[in-house]
Amino acid sequence: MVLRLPHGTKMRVRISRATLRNLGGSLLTAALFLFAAPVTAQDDSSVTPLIERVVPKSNPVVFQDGMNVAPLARATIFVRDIEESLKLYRDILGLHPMFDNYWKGSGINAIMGTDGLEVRATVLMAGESVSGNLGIYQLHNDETVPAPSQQTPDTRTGDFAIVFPTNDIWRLTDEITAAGYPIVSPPVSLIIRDEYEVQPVEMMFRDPDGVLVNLVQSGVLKKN
Amino acid sequence: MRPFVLALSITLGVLQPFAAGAQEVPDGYSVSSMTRATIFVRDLDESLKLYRDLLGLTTRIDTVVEGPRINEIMGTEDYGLKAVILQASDSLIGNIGIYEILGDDRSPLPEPSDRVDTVTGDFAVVFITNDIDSITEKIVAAGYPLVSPPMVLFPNPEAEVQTREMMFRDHDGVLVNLIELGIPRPW
Repeated sequence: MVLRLPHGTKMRVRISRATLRNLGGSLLTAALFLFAAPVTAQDDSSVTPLIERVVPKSNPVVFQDGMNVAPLARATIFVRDIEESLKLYRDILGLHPMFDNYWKGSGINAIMGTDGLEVRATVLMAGESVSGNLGIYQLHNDETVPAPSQQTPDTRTGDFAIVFPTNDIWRLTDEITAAGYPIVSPPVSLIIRDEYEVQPVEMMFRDPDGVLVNLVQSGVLKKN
Repeated sequence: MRPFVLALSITLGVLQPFAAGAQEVPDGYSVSSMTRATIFVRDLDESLKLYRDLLGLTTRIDTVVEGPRINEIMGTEDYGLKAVILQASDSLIGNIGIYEILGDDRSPLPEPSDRVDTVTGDFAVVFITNDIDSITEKIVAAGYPLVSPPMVLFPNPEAEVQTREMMFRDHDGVLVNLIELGIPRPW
């Protein structure tokens, strides 16, 4: 669709019919978003918490001077099997859930540009932080056949990677290896530096959806 | 040590060295919050137009890595890596990596998704913003596939100003979700 703006400006907008339906079924509704009051989804949305939500208290969102976005709140993977993903991120890496919800209705479908889907959404975190979290979302009623996940032990254009510091890389690597995730690299030292008594190390592997996971462990400096 | 292993160190370590104490792991955990999400992009300059120029993230690191080590880790020959890490603050947490494999002639690159809906297998990056309307105007004007305009997902009767969010796809088909937090009523 093309939006005609003041002063003769035109904007071409690609927006799904499903989103339009969810927003009230009107092209006008979509066109007004640039100028008018907030668009609100039709009132058929429901949120079913599967656990009690954890609200981080000590780490509010802060915008640095001159910035209009804050650090990445989370990376979200729309996974093929949420239970398989939780085995890795919750059970092996030890992330804790901030929330675990089941969403239905036009609101969640509007933001996703879909129609009739339901979502189980889990956000995992280390400690209580509003940034650097991980979303694990699974779509339900999705009839789209997902492409096979990338499981090659190399890095390709189009890949996504998530990077976590760790203090237990050897144990985690043992568990990751035992679980059969494709290892891209075992733990290795970075450039060997004389000032370190224990060198920093890192490893990388692929998760069940082909996302690269990079674990990095700090070194220990010599006392002198 | 396999050669490619050292190349990985150059790729990921030198670009953002994790010196001792750089990011502490919270008590009771084995990992800390995500330091960054990295996208191996098709055209780094195009990606920077969005993440640096439009969203306003600033450059933390901008470098090119070449040589046998980087090719070993990527399983290639004679390729390089252009790597940019962008940040919204001085924090090591929540950065974005924009990496481009240089000279990649292996096979036609997979076509990035330009779908205006969300499907299984998608990857999304989520930012909190304080200027969702202005950014949305720029995103629409730049022609990125818009999945949803700014909208209220779950109306909150307790809020004076509702939380709104929007979503679009970047040049590589990654979903970008912007959220502007609401304001609770003062009572």
